Amino acid sequence: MATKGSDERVRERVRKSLSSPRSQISLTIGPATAWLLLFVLLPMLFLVAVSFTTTDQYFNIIWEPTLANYEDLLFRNGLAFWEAPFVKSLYLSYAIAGATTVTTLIVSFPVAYLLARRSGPFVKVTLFMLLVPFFSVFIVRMYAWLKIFGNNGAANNVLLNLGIVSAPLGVFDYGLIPTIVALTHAFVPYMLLTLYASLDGVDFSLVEAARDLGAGRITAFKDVVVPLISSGVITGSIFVFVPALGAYLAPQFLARGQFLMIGQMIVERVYTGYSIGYGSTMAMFIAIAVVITIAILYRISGLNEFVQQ
Amino acid sequence: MSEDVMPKDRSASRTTRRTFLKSTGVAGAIGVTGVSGCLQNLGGTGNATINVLGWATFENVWDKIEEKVDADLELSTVTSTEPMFTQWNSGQNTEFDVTMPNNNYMPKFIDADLVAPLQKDVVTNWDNIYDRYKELAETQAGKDGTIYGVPQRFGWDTYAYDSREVPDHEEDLSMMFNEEYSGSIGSFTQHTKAIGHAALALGYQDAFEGRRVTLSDEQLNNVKEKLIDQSDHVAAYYAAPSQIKEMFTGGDIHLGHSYRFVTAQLKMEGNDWIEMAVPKQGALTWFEAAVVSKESDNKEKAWEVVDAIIDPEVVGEWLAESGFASTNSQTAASLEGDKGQYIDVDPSRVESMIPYKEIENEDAWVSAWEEVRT
Repeated sequence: MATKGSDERVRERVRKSLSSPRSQISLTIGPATAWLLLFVLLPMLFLVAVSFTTTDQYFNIIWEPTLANYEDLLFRNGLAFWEAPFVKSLYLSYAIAGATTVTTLIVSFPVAYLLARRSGPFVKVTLFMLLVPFFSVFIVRMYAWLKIFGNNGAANNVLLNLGIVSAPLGVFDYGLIPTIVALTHAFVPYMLLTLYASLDGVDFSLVEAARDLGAGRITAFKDVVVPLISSGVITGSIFVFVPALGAYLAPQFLARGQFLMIGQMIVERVYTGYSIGYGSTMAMFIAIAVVITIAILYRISGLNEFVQQ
Repeated sequence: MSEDVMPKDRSASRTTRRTFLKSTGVAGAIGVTGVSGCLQNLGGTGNATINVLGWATFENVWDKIEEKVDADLELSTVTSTEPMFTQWNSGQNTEFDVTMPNNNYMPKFIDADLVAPLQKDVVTNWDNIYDRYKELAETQAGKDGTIYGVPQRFGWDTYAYDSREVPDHEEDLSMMFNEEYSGSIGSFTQHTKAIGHAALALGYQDAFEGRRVTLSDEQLNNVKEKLIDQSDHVAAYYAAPSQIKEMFTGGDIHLGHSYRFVTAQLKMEGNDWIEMAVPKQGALTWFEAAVVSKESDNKEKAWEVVDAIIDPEVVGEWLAESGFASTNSQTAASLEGDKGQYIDVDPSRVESMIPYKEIENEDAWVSAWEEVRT
């Protein structure tokens, strides 16, 4: 009996301690906060600290604050800001990530719309079929694109063998287009699933109501559907844009070194010269650029108000 | 039933057995602990254990080396020299006995006081190394008259060409800038190689003399401009051997930088049309220098491993199949038939090779190369 009484007391104590607001907060957001602190915030702080350092000839970090990396990145050898290799690479990375985001949106939207309007096994089977290719390893998919593109790749060979073209098409040659195609293919699921989740919540009777009141198809879509799914579009775009901005494998495989995206530039710096400080500075710029982009997107879409509500 | 009521003799018997087992266990543990200090460098076979941080390709020949030196070899593999240096320099030189960096990294190893002086009496194959590589060992793998590394494999880089598309010509590095082959030229993506070759093409051979490669600001700027002009005609920049093979065999390039072993492998695979140029400016050569850690507890055995690495009987066939050249001048002769044809390097050719070296102003090289690439 005595044991039972003490068990009760322990239980009561645990219940009490768990019911306090502080305990509840600790238990719910505590693990996530600890995770973020350990694996996001601390590494970021380390990145910031290292970006203000240089390395000696033995690749050891010299812990003396310096702006040398920043100066060299932005104003190298008297070059104008916009002519600095890093800035040019940043523009290019933005352009490629932007183009990838737009193409994933264009590819994903009709499919997501169709799936949202249908129901039953069709949706499940179609979604599964669409996602099956993404169960394969990323690098394997890049190898597949490598074989498809190129002057002597599968795409050109098929066209040549069918007699449709008499010489390999330059559009299939390695470079910008294959990189964007491969990145689009890689990131379509992020956009598709986000858009589908967003469209699935749309009450399409509102579109019918708008049509009944005289709105055309485009007007009804623009004024009814788009505002309802804008948060999904923005979220999907962020999911695609951010990883595309720092892409490494796709341009490494498919650009054949004809241009350098930021991710490649960081790898080359760190790999060949072990310039950890320099690489950290470049990574800092990517992080800042991403935060600014997301802030602008949120501002444009009015999503911040939506979040506040 | 409690033990109190058990027959005394039986209880005693059980106690005795337990005591015996316990005693045996304790004695065994004490014994193992006591001799563990003596055994710490011995593997399961009773041989010394030599830990090697080496190239992944050595996995193919590791059993033979192990057999030759009669030691347990533990091979940890890497695919570039940088981790060899960074790992050793961060304290792991106490965990490894041998590593094999590229020649341009040897000064770093020596200056950082990571490596032990060569024991020529143990490395009996030293005498058979090409004189040129002995000289290079003194200048690049040595300091103040002391040699620290043994050149083992070597190769050289220059341009290769598809003889079906590029006719016989005077072999000259300026071919890499020939607009006639625009769109079918391939280039190395490493700044050391791309800038190095362009500098040679521009006649800056003097920059390669001395312990480090030193291009003046003006020379580097000229090289950069030359490479920027070239970039309009380059179909691909590459580093991986597989990429070079793929680009040549796929017809994507007809002329481009190549490693000698890649060209040899292409020939072995039946691509007779591939030719490795012998440019008048010379070729840039690399070699791997096998070194022993200053902290090794088994230095002599470690040098025996190094000796095996350059022993024709151990590595000859493997080198012949992989297309790498051996610094041991006896390797080709040790192979039967025409097996040694890709190892048999004309000594006069070896003499004319220009070694890769540490770069004096490497940051400027990297910056210039980034300007070319962007």
